[in-house]
Amino acid sequence: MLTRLTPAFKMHFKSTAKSVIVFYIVMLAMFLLDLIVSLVLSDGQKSEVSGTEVISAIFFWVLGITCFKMNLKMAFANCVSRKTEFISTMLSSAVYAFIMVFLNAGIAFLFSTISTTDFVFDQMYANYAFANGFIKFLTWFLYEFLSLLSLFAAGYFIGALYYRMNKGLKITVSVGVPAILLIGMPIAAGIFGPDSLFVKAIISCMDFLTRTIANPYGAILLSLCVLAICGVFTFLLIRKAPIKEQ
Amino acid sequence: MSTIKLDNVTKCFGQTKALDGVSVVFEENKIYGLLGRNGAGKSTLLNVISNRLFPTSGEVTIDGIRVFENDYALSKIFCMSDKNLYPDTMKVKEIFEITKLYYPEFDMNYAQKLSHDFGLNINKKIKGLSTGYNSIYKIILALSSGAPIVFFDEPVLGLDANHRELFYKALIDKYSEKPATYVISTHLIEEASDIIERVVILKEGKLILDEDTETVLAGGYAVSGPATAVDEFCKGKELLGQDVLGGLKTAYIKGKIRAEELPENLELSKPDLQKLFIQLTN
Repeated sequence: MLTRLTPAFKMHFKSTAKSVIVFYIVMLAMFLLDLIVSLVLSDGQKSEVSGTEVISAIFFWVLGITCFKMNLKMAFANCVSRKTEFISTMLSSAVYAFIMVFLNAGIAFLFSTISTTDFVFDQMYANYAFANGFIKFLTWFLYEFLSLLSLFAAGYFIGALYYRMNKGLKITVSVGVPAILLIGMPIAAGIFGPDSLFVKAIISCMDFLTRTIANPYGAILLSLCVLAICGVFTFLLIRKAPIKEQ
Repeated sequence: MSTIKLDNVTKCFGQTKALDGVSVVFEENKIYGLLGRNGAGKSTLLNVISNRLFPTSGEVTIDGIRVFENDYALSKIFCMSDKNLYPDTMKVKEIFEITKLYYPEFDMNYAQKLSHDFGLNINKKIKGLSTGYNSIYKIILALSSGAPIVFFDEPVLGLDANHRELFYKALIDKYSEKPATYVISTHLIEEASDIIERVVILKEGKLILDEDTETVLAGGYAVSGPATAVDEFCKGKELLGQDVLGGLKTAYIKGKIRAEELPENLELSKPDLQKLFIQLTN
């Protein structure tokens, strides 16, 4: 059935490699810059660097957005079914997420030699009592891996959504969503007041999210849910995606 | 085996019926000419067969296997599109390598030889290619793919006469060496008519002709001469169309004729495929 899964996977893996390599070259360049800065600050002061994994997460999310159209068109060019295209993209992104977890750890370690740096995981769960070192490592790995993968899936879903939308809808969403979030919602909150159902609902959602990610396993579960939801919706969008003029 | 069967395929884009109940069989190891005017539905037909578009109704099968989202059936097809489906920043040789991944029978040596013959620099990025060379790299991909079914959608778009000649020659050589099903969708009917074995003509989404080229050409003739004499001769005959130039007229008539039936002041000739196509689709 999925007779072309292997070549599709190889193709996606190869085509993504360049972007990932360039990203980590940039990260290394940032490390070198930090090294130069720390040498210049010869009075013993250390620079502070944190959240290097966040940068890679954003990169992976953007990769998800940009790869949808390109990958789908190449699938059309080579008469590959949409389901094979979807599965191969998700599989190759999973492999890259796995690799990037350790690359990010390596980058963070490099920064720690010359700067004060911490993993986001350590910052968030410094006071969490893990059963033992292995459980902590496994939790950290799952947290990092699923965060990356779920962000890629979210980006891939956005890419699929935009591909399926017509021009008018694209403009509406591109302008409308930020306008609602940044302008509409604060205005609505102001109009309805802090005790209104609208404001309370928003606060409840934020509370729920905060409480969920306060626990590393909650964060892992949240990532899994995002991955599953985005994956399902992306598949529903891709399964009937037609070839487009541009 | 690589027989494509379309069974009552209809494709609608909103209110527009791009394909209307098309039923046709593309048999294995033949060169087909898929002809039609602009907007007739040729590209839509090829896109439906290669799973890039879904038919509104009807079915497409290859050797009895439904094409819809079936990698096994789809692996038998290579569809050369007039659209650019590869990233602009990709080099031609990278595209060759990617195609080799998907089509294990892809002949890299042959692709490189053809690139040399066409004067294509395979180290160039797609965005740096002219319109003609954009068509050329896609032609090379199609001819080298090794797929048992190959579609060419406007293969000679932007090609000069020399390159067009080279394409037709390469296609015939490839076909002789390793027969496959080739479907060529083109507007340059006169040029392609020498290599097309069977003609499929679409008009406003409907199939109006599906016959061997020889049969199509043998099914009509042209008479030319003074307009009045031609008009007199044409009485009672099935007229496909006519061209008028001053006092001279050429009439295209369906059917057969014996040379002795023709009046002395009229000239008999065989209509070429393009003339017949124009008359059929006008």
